[in-house]
Amino acid sequence: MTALILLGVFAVTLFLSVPVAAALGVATAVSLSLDGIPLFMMVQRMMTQINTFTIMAILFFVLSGEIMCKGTMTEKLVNFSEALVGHISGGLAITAGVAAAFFSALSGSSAATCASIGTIMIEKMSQRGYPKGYSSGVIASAGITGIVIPPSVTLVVYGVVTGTSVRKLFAAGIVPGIVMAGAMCVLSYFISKKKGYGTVQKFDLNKVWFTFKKGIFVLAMPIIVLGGIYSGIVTPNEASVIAAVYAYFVTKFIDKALPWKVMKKVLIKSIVNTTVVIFVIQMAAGFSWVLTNARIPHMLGELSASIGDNSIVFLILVNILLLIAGMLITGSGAVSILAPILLPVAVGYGIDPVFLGALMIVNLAIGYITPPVGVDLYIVSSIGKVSVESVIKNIIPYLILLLIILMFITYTPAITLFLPNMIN
Amino acid sequence: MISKVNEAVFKFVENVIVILLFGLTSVAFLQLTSRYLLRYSNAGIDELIRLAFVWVVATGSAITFRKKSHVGITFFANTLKGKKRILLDIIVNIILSALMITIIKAGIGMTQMGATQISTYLGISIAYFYSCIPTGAFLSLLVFVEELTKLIKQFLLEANQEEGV
Repeated sequence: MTALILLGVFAVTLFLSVPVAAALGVATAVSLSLDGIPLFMMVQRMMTQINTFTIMAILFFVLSGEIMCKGTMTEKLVNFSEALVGHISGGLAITAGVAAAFFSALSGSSAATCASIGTIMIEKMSQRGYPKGYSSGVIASAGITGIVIPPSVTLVVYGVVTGTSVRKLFAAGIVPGIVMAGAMCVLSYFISKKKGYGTVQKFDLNKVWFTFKKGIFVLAMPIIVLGGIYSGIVTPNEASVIAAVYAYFVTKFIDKALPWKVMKKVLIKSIVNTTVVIFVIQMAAGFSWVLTNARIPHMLGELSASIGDNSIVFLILVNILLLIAGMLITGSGAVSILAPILLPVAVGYGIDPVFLGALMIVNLAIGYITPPVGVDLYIVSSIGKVSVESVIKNIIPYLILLLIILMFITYTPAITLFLPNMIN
Repeated sequence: MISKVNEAVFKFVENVIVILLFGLTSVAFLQLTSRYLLRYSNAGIDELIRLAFVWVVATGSAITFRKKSHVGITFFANTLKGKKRILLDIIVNIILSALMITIIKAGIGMTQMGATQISTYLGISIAYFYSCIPTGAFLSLLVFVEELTKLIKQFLLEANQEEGV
């Protein structure tokens, strides 16, 4: 009964357009009041969620992403990627994929990746003969690697709400992220070649060297951040602080693009983007406590077992649930609400929590570009000034490819867990 | 009146929060550098960083409400126009205000409980940590009261115009 009231109030308030975090809070407060549980339990959970070091990584990774958008780091990344792969058919489409994968290793967000790479690439691709609808579709699909390739804000959120090692989760995102980015680049090659999109440039080793030298500081960043984490020198949280300070020094002193007025706006924007994520985590903590108290994960486990008694059936159900969730709410929101409910069931099936985390993130990433409501579709449509319908039409082949990759990742956990298992 | 008050309050809060975040990042970096280069780490500074962080997040959430940046699903709201849309927005702001009042009330209770406890390293009252929750909720409440005032005025104006027609 409590769970029904909780979910009912949540659904109604969400439908009325109450923000997700507040809808979770209202549903929790109503359920607790009806059960006669003191409301300070909700506030205590809100506090516990933010009074940890791990959650701070969200703020610092968001801050580093925001700072990088203000300088010329993205442009340098695009120039280097273009020099590297611009000579292949569909060179600029592949450049977008490579640059997005690089940017993902610097920022932790899919929206930031789409916005940063899209702002430069859509116009550039349009000038070189790529239809805008196609360029926008390429950027949207490439941008989703932003939450899969580490550092990923959504993976940090999963780590916070489930108590899983963020270091292992980051390692689990590497192979699926690179497979997704690589496969999309191959698809871009075939589509561009077949449809005759774009002009091919001559490969110039001098240009590669020149753009590499120009972009050395930005290209060094993933090595510093991820290298620092996996060599065991720093924790993911410490790496996030280094990322923010490094991005600040490069943008401020090398790009000379960060006057205090701009920096102030960057800080405010970072706080806003961080609290959008963290407020959901805070409110979801009480919400999932009520659900767990009402034995919902247990019932979900029984329901899943009644459909089929193996982990694959459960994972397919998870895939469907998360693809829908990814379309409707942000990845971090979906993880905050669903991970505490799904994890106990998954563990019951013998599924590794690190694998579940990576699988959830890949699902939600695909949800971002799933029509008709995937959020990245609207971001690129706005940047590219093209209709959402045109983006959707061009994104379908990428979406089918990503769903095939998702199935592949679901059925072969060893591929995802290969790197995390190497970490002690 | 409430708009002017909020303008001043949030200008102040934004300035404080920007300094806090800048300071928080710098201190976290210095602490990190000191830990690896000088092999010296101060647990009190770690606690101070956490204190600054919880305040940045709690008050930042109110700024996010003011900038209407908290994400929600707006399919239904977007189908409504005119007086119906204003009425829905009034209902939403009443729900949000009620939630914030609940958090303020429970948060004050928590803060009072925390006043009797001392933090491990800094030796300060835990109330300094807990009080960020009711403060953040109070700032958010100010946002919703301002929004409600505007919406009610707008609703009455629309109603009067309809009567005039």
